[in-house]
Amino acid sequence: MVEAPEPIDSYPSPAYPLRSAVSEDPSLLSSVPSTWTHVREIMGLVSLSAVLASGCSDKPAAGPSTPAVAPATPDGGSAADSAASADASMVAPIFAHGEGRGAIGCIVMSPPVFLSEDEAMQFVIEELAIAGIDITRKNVAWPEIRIKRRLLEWNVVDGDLHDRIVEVDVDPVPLSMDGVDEQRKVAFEFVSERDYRDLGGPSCMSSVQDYDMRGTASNLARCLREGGTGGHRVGVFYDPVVSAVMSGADRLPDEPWKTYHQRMTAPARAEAKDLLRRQVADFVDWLRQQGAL
Amino acid sequence: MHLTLHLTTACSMACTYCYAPPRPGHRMSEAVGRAAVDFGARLNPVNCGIIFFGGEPLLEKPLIRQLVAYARSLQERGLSIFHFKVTTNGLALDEEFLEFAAEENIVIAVSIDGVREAHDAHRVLGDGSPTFDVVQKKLRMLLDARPYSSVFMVVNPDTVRYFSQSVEFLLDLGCRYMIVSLNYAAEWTEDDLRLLEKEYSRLGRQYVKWTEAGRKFYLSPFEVKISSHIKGEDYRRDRCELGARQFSVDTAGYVYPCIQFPAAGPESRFCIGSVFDGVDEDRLRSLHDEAEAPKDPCRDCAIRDRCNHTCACLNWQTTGTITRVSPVLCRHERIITPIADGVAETLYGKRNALFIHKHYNDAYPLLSLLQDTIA
Repeated sequence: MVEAPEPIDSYPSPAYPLRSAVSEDPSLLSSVPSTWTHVREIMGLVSLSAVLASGCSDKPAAGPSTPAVAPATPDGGSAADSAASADASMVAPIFAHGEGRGAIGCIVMSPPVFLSEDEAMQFVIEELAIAGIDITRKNVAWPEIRIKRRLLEWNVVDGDLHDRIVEVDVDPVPLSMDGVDEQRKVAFEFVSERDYRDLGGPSCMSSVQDYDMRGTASNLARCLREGGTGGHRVGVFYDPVVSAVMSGADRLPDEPWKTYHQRMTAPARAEAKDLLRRQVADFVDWLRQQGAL
Repeated sequence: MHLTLHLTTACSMACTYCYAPPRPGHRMSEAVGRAAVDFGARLNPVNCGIIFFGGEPLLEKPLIRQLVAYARSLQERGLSIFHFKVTTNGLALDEEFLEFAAEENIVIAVSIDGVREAHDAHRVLGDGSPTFDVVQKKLRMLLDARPYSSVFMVVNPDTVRYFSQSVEFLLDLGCRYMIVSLNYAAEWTEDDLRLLEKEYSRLGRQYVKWTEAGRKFYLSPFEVKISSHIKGEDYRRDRCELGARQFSVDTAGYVYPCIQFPAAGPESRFCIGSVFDGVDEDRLRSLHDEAEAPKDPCRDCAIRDRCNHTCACLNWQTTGTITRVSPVLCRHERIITPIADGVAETLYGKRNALFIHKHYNDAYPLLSLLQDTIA
């Protein structure tokens, strides 16, 4: 007979998310088994279930839905609602590697290290090339997709500070995709600090600008699902935003500030690139699952 | 809350591990059955699930027909909506009953322990003769008519070496819903448990392979453990809770908080009332609180919220009390939890779409059915 063992002291948290992850990021459900993609009724239900999952969220970060107009389809026709619904499966989930959160401004002690748009684009292009995806066109205008600008609004209610995201009533910004492989019909967009607001990242009307790169990437992916992708399979990546601690006390004697800055931010930049590499690797896996590679 | 009606204590098999060995002579009368259905409708005025159980319930086919008809008559009067399920050893399944079950939408579950070597080791007739051939034939007939029927499989120490082979056999046979339980009351040795771990590991690899190949199935030990993490707090509300989700009714109409307790009899403290007089709420609450109280040494265990140690029925069967947990159950939970997590981590890490929809999308059963229907 076996003996009763001692209780388990500790058990690692499993590396797969709780169900609530779906309400936080409904794009999780946008990838579907390949046997479903040809069945219009199933695709319609998948879109509906993703919408319902998102509707159950009590998180304000997703903000109001951003209307977008479907781009022209490759054969020149206009993409109808049903086509947009079918296109929902063409946008990859947001592959969460890195929190993508940080802030800059007067009271920020650990400034985030942003990857520049050009640096990140080149990095993504090189990673995709390893998988055989040849990004031949950069900064390709998809003017039919228009992203509404958003604002992080603060209110004090009963002495408590509340924030919410509101859309701003100014002209929406037409989307420009960072890279497109026309032969394989694959496109990507990277949410960087530079185009954060243009891609729907909420502006803060204060001396501190808060960044939620991952949430903004989710917002952009939703716009693409609603608006359609013209038959392209699309990956949306985001700056993982890794912070560096720079007090100045560890600056070497006579070390120029620029050198000091580069030295102190190098580990964070390397970590951010590693996280971005994982986002791209997951996207490539997703493309393989979709039968696109 | 659903009701399990023990229609008879007689059985056409004499499985060696049965926790309620057949006792001919005790069968539920139609009057008791009707009172049980009334009791169910009072308990569940909106939605009432009734499970026909035994002994072997298909020895009482006429009674099943009578009680289904009676329940439907209550339903027509707006008293509740009834759903039925029957758990059978399969021997008495025939075309006529399948037709009736299809008309009344009765779910049928068959007990089969896998490949011949595993099944015939324990699931035998009274004279010890094997039943694999006939049960397999009946199961094929059932799956042809009702492809979503489930199977119950028991794993014993002397059959554990066939575990993964048996699951694969059932899956290849067309079974999609496989409910697996260890015979926790058996005498498991360290060698048996090492073999169990090896078999679970093999099944874990198969689970990944099958899912990646797009095969759809439900294999309870894995699904339950994965769900215990994914559902978080909700899982703790879903798992076994004595007298909270089902009552069992014995052949005489006495009510018990779960399926093993009718064996204790109406004089025992586990009898909480009858279908004629209702439930003694104080007694039920007392049993419930006793079963739910934190248990030593489980209270300090890191996986207590994902473990099945709250199953009072199983505790009573294996240790004689509802508060003490079987060491075999404890060892089982330690084996399956990390293996199931490894499977889920692998499939989630690969963003496997089938896995994600199966576990994260509430609409998955509907989507899956739609795919099968259209395909």
